Amino acid sequence: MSNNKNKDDNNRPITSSPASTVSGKTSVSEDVDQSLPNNLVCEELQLAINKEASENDLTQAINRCKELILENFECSIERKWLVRHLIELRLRKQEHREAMADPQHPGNKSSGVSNRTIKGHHLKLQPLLKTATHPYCDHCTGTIWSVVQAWYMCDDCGYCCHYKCMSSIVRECAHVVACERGQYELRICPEIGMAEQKYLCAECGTQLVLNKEWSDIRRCDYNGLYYCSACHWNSSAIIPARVIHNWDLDPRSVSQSSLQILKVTADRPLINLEKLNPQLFTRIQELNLVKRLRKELQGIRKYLLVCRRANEEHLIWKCDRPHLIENLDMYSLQDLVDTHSGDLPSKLHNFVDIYTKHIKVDCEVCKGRGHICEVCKNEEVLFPFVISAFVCQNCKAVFHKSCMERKNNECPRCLRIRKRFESELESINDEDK
Amino acid sequence: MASNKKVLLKVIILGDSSVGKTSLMNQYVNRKFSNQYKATIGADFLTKEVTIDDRTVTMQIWDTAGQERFQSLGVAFYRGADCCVLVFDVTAPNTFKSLDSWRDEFLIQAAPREPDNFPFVLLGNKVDLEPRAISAKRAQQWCQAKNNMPYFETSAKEGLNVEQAFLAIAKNALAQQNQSVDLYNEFPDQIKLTNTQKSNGGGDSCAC
Repeated sequence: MSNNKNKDDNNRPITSSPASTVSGKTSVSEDVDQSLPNNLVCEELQLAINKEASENDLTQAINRCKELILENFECSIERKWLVRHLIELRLRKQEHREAMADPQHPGNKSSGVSNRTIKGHHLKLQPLLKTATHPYCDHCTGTIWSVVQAWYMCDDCGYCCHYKCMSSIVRECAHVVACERGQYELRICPEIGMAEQKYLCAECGTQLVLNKEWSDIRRCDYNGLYYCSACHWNSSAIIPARVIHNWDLDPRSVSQSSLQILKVTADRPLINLEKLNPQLFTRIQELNLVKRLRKELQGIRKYLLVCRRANEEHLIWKCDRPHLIENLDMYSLQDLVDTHSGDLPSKLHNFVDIYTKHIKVDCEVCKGRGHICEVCKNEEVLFPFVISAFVCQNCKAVFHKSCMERKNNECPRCLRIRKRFESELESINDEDK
Repeated sequence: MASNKKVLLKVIILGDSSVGKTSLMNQYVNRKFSNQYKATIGADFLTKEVTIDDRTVTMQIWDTAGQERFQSLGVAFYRGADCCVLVFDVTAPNTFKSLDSWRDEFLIQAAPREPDNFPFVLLGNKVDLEPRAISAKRAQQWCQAKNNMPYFETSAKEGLNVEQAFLAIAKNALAQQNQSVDLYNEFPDQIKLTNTQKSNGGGDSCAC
C-alpha cells in the first residue's frame, strides 16, 4: 500500500503537501458528514447541495430539510445528516443576506467583482461549498472555509486566496512569470546567500530571524532563495536543473511560488535536452529509446500530414503531447519524469503502432507512398522511418541499409540523375556547335 | 470465366509539374475543372468504373506530384501498374523534353516484366492554349520511336478528347493485364519445378 503511494508520488513531478505549519486537517467526522446518505440521494436537488442557490432556493431547501427531519427516525444517520445540513443551509442563507447588503462583497453579483485581475492573476470567484477539501489561502496560509468564506482562485496558476486577502497579494501569477521567462532556472540551486538577500524573505520581504532553537527560514531548492514559512510550505517538487544535469528525479522542497511555476510548466516543452546535456542520451537507455521513437514518429508524421484519410480521422491529434511528434529536441519536465518511470516509451510505442498500422496496412494511398528498394527490387514496401531503411540525403530515395552497404553507399538514383544531367548538357553543347 | 471477375486497372499519370495531370483526372472522373493551381503532394488516387467490351472494370487512377520537392514521399504505387500515362504541356517545350526521364524512372521503379511492351500513352495537354510549342507531328515522331505509343491531344479545361484518351488507356491496361495472365499460364509448372528441386535437395541431404 505504502509502496503504491510512493510510486504514484514518483510519477508526478510535483507533490504538494499542505503546509507543515498550518494545522488544518479536516477531522474524520467531518469527512463522513460530507457524504450524502443513500436514501436521501433523490432529495439532492431540493436540498440545494453543491449548487449555487438564490435566497429563495435556500429558504425552500430549509423548509424541505425540516420536513425530512420530522419524517426520519430519531438518532438515524439520515436525521443526523439532515440536522447538520440544515445548519449549513441557514449559515449560507445568512451569508447570502449579508452579501446582498454589502455592495463590495464578491457574493453580490451585481457589484461585478466576480472576476478580478491582480498581479497577472485572473482571479475568479469560487462558489461557496464547492469542494469537500478546504484549500489553503496562498496569501495568509489560513484554511479557506469554503462554506462561509468567499474565496478566489486564479484560472491560470491555481492561486487561491480569501476575499479579504485579495487586496494584499504579493506573488505574481506563475503563468505570467513562466511565459515571460520562457525557460527553467538551469543552475542547480543557485544560492546567493542570506546576506545578499538582506535577511528578508524573497517573496513577502519579512525579516528572517536566525534563531538557534527554532529556525523558520526555508530554502527553495529550485531558485536557491530563502523564504519565510508563509511563502515556503516545504512542498516538494522535482527540480528541472537536477534532472537535466544529473538525471536526479528526487523531489526537493521548494517555495510556493516556485511550486506554482513548476506546476504550470510541467507539460510545456521547455527543455532542449539535445543542447543542454546531449550526453544524457548515451547514459540513460530509456531516454535513448524515447529519442529513437520520436525520430520514427517524425518520419511517420510526414505521411499522416499529407494523407486525406488520416486528416479526416484526426489521427495526428490522437497524441496528447503534440510536441513529441512535431519536433525532436524539446522535452517537457513531465516527459522526462515519464521516461524515467517507463510510461513515455510505452506510450510512444503505442502511437507508433497505431500510426504504422494506418500507413502500412489500412491506407492504400499511404502504402503507395512507400518506397521499393531499387537495389534488391524486393516487393516489400519500405518506409523511410523504419530502422532498416537508408534514406539518401540528396534525392530522398529509400533503400535497405544492407543493400546500400553492398553498393558502397552510392545512391543509384543520384547516379542516374547525374548521368541524365550530363547527357543533357552534352546534347545542348552539340546543338550549339 | 474471367469476365465475371472484378477487374482493377491501375493507371499512373506522370509528367512535369503544372502540365495538368490532376486536372485531366478530375475532368475525367468528376467532370470538373478549376483554373486554380494547387500542387499535388505525394500522390493520391481516384477510382472510376468503366465498361469495356461488356466488361465492367474499375480504374484506379494515380495522380502524382510533378514537383521535385514533393517527391520525397515514395513511389511504391508504381508497382503493379497496368498502364502509364505520360502528360506534357503543348505550350511548354521543357515538359516535352523531360518525358524520356519520366518514362525511364517509371520503368525502373515499376520494374514491369517486359519493359519494351509495357503500355504507355502520351497526352499533349492544354491544346486550347496558344501559342503551341510542340507540334503534333513532333510528338507523334517521339511516340513512334517508343514502340508506337498512342498519342492524344487533350484539353482538360474544355474536356476535349479526355474521355477518348482514358478509354484507350483503359483498353491498353486491360490488354496488358490479360497478357500478363497468359504469361503465367504459359508456365504453369514454374513454381512446382523449384519446389521439387528443393525437396530433392532435402532428400539428398537426408540420405547423406
